Amino acid sequence: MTQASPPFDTFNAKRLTPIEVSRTFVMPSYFPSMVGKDHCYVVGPRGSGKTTLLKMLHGTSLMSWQGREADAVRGSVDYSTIFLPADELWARQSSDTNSGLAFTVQILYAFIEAIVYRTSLTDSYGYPTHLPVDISHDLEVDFCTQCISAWGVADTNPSFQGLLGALDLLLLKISSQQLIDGHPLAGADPMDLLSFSIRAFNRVTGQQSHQWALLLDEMELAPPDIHRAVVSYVRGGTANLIIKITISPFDRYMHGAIPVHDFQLIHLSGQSYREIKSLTSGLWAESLRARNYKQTALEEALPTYPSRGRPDYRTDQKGFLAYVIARDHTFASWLKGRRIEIDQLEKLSYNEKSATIRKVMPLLVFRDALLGYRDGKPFRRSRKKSYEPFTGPAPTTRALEGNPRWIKVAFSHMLNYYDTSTNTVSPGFQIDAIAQLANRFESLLRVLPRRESSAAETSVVWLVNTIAEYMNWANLGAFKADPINCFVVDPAVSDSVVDALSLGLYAGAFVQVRHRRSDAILSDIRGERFRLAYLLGVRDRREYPLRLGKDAALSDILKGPPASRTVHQSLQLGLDL
Amino acid sequence: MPRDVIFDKSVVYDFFVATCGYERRSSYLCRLGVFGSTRMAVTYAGTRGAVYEENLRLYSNSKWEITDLDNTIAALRTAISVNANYSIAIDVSSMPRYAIGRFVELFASTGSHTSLQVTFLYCPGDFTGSSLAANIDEPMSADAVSKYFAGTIRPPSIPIGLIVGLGLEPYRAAGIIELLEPARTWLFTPSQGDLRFVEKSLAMHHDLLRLSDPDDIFEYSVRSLAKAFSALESLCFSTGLHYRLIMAPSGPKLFSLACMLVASARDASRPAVWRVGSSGRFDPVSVDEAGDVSASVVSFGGRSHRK
Repeated sequence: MTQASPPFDTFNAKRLTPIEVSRTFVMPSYFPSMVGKDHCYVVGPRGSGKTTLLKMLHGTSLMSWQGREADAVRGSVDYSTIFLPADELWARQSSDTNSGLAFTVQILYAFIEAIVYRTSLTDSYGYPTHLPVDISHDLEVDFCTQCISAWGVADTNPSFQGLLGALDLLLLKISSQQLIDGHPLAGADPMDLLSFSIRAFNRVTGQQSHQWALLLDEMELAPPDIHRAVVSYVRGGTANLIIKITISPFDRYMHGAIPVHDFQLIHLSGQSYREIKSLTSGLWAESLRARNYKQTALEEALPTYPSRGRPDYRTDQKGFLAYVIARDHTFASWLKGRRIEIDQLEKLSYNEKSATIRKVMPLLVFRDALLGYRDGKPFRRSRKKSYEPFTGPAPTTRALEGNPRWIKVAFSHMLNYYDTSTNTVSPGFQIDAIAQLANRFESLLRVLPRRESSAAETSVVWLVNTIAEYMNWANLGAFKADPINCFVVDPAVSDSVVDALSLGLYAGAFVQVRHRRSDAILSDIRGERFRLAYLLGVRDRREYPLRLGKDAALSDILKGPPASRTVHQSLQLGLDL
Repeated sequence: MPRDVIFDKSVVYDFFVATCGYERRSSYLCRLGVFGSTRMAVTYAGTRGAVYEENLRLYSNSKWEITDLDNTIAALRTAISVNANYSIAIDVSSMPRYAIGRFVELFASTGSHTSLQVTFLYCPGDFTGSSLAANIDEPMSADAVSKYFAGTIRPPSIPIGLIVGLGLEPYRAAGIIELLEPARTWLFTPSQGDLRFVEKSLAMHHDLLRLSDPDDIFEYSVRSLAKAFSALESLCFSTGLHYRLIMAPSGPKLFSLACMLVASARDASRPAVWRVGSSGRFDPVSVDEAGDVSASVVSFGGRSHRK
């Protein structure tokens, strides 16, 4: 019986203390850009590590971070951070009438918390404070008196604790709708008020040019008017405050500011393979370290499935091609159509070889793993499927998409079966971990509820499975060098499907295939190109290659395979009983 | 604080509210011939099908007033304003959670300036029907039961603590935990009553229970509102300062009612109460009554609200 992998939630940064976050932090290549003094949007689905990145800018995380790059990064963060988390509860408690006011109060509360941190010698864990500031009692009273006046919280003791108490009371009044409309905070722009308060604090501490960064987690949960306030600030705010936000790939309200010009943009989905590989290898090393295992590179620790009685495509390309040609007549025809002779491969130029043989090799391995052949025609094997395309370092890295939560869950499972005599995880346990993760992710998609206000009838799981089955069909029929493996959301797609797609995008089931003219953050899904998360492509009978492919219109995919499929399907899905 | 009492069908209430729904058990008390000066059977949009028509005929033939929720709430409000000593009985067995929330809100707000006693009745469902009904596999939605139960807004730096009532529904607990990403989760598992119900619920949530700290797992009786209330109230009292609490009851309505009563009693730091349920249309499944009726008297007002 296999051990169950830990729940996704175990590795959720929301439930980790700053110390725990910094202890397991593996610095991605884009972190230095994020740390810089520009406004920054970090865009990614759930589990992609957004909260971890923001939390790493928190003083306690920075000061407790022991990593190789820690000193350099710590030295470059010469601004103080105000961390404002958001969550579903926070979002659902906001209403049209109270959201602006509640947000303002929450920001000011987080600001005073940051001040309390900075004015302490050590944090609550005993680490020295990041950018500490000394403030006398008289100056504290002076600053708090200014805030009491500006925030309209009369009868408050002029102390940091007094301000926190007053703001807490304001939240209570907002909840019970007791706050009168004429309250000074009700009509104030939250960003202006925060800027004013920062200036006041900088003045009393004699640090007029000190910068602060407001870290807003899960911006997509904030109501529209908060989006507008933030975007407006990003476009023309003051110098003493920078904003770093994390946000889902799809957000209807986050447009207006211009990437590069107004802010740095970091997309956590669809990173280059090199970046994903670097992060995955780092997290592998971290997982080994946490279990006190000898450090072994991912490439050595995850051997691939052995070839089943056929030439290995890595060492004997020509032999492998000959093997496939002999079995798959559709591939043989494709080669013939391009006048490629197997015996004359050496005569092909490098570019010709790249455009033909090298390009199709992963697809041939994928097909060989899943298909049998009868009279040269492919059919889907019901048993004895090979896991070769889904095991080993590269497929594992691709399947995990650079998603830290997935990577940690999968590696945690694999390391339960780590052979310490060879320092490897056998291919069987690799695929166990990945397949179990994929099934659990499917379960998550099944249970992830929508808000009632956007309840619809198309479920994310149905949409995912319908597309996956289409991709499976498209890749296992008669051989094509560039089969469909992506889709475009065309105008014929219903609103209900678009809703399910945006929820799936938020969860990480779909990945936008961005192009040069893509918006920084999607505000309209129609017309855009997507693929399924590669992780979902390892599931039984829904396999598809872990690579990009040609597009199909989503409305066509949802109709089911084209009429011609009937013929092919009977070939593909026949059972080798 | 609720007080469990023995159900006595001979008691004549001034105001009796039940549900005319698609479950057979929604008409159980009508079939038992309960008494009331005013008897209202409430119908809800979207709760047709199964044995709804049969129930409707039964209520009509028994001279119950068939009405909707708004009318019932308005009639109750008027009745209470005339005489706070009215004896009121509410059968929550087949009642949607948002409707239970409306009644609790009405009584709690009325009870802030007068004393009021309400008898809540609950007819547990039979195992087979409950089990079938819980296994509908549909897209789900989740949200606060109502604005009143959205919970007090508190600084988001305070972590979320989630209290989940486990029932026979296979996905809801996992879904709500995934959605809300709590720092800590407490699980309430059913005990007593039909053992099959208890065993199936434990088996269904085996992984969740296995991975949870045993100190964070509680039992509640599906027959005792007072015990469920007491356990929840104690937990909220001890953890409310450190967590923004959300209660997400699935399973028996009695537990949902207990959650709402606990939340309504806390003015200054009200926990949120959420519902997780099917977001689409589904084929209604009739649930028969198990046969017994749990009764609890709840006093609203006449006591200081907890901070």
